[in-house]
Amino acid sequence: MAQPVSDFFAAWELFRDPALAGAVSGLLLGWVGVYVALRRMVFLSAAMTQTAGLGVMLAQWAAATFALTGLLASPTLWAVAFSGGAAAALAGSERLRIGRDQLLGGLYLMGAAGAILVGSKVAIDAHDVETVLFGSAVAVAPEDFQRLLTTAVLLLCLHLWLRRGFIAVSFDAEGAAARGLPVGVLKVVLLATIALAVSVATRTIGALPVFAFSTLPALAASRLCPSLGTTLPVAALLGAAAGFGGYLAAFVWELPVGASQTAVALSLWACAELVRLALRR
Amino acid sequence: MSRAPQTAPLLTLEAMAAGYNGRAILPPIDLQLHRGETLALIGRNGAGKSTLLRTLLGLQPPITGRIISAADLRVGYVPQRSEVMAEAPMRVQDWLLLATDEGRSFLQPFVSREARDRVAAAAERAHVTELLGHQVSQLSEGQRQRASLARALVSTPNLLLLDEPTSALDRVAEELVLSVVDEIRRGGDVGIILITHSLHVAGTHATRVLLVDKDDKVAETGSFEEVSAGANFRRLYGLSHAAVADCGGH
Repeated sequence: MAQPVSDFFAAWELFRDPALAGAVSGLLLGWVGVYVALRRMVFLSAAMTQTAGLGVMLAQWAAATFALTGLLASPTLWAVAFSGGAAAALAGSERLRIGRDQLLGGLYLMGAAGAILVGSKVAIDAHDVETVLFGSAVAVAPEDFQRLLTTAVLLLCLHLWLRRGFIAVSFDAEGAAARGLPVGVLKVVLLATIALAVSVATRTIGALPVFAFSTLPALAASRLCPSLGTTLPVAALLGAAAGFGGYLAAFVWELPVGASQTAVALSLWACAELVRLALRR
Repeated sequence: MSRAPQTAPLLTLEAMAAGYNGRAILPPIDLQLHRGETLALIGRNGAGKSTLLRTLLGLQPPITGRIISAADLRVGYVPQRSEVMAEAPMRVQDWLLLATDEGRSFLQPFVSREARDRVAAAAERAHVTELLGHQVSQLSEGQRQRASLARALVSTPNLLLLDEPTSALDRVAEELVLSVVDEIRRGGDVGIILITHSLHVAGTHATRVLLVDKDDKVAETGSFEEVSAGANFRRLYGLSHAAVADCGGH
């Protein structure tokens, strides 16, 4: 039994923050996801979202076990630390003499299994663990939304400013080094911003939609756009549409939010592939 | 083939030995490269050509001797294959524009008019103007190498280093790329170092050749006729006079 869409907007005050959190997450992750998806680093995003999820769960466990408060108990901070650690390990995979794919797989499994294991030891119910892992939360706390919004504005401004540098090191690192661009610094900043975006969004909407938004909108946009200059904003807009549309669809058809947002992102990707095929003919 | 104009050399190698881990793998080389010259770097697989190229690019230091560069030296580099990820939407124009950023210029919010003009000029010089709107991933190998050449020209170099730019091309595409290289050389303001496996390419498109071999400790320079008449060349390539003549030696 479907709910009328008008009911959703009639109760806008209630749904505003979670629906906009989906849209803002999609916008931010759609943009940064272009570097993830088109550099064939899809599993980087998967590993980072899962380790961020583990960070969120560990924050709750540490707060309960050691009576931590304030910043030390901040799930966002723990998520940033864990996904940042994962990004740093991946950046240094050559020095660690571990294959990149093997490390990605290990980090992904550590994050996924770790979050469930830690969740089982924290005084929260299984629904809260699902919220972190699958983004099944219907509501978003105002302070979480504010944090997400601030992070998104700051990171998008930074990405807009440094986009030529980020594109150069992502798609032409050797040439960029030969032309004197600070390749090492740009790579670190890019990975750090991806880790921050993933962490804050995972804390707010859950790991599953975060993984979806950081890959699918970029793949869809790359099928529709002739250049990276247009792919970046189009991916951001598609991500925002998936985030908001997924939340709306979850309301209308009473679906789990994270899975619904992921399904909408998948639909947009499928549509983009169909459009591309049609244009080829 | 015309001789290079006798201006100040772009590059001077003084008893320069290339190698790695502190060990020279090639004998010391004395060489000058001028504008308007194409020097073909030839040798067997694993002869040390790439090590020498990396040294000339400044990616590793010479083991002995020194490299003296002209004060106004600007280097353009064309790799063997230009990797552009197939999934990334990128027009040739954007690919060339990406090469206009140097140092911290990417911090400027917009690409300058001057950079766009350089892209247009480089595209015209490499005969890829009609390809500017095409996706890089959809170019043929030959078109991609010409676009790669245009990319190296964007920074208005006076020294072009070409690392086997035609190794993946058929004969027709190879000639198209090399005709552009010849045209650039004839312009007189660019010196070219061309790594090639093809004796035909060295014989027909280079003004001089440098034959190297790390196993036999060979580093010999001269015209193609001079080098190909030498004992080292015969030993390394095992060719008869007739076969060398077929390579287009002049």
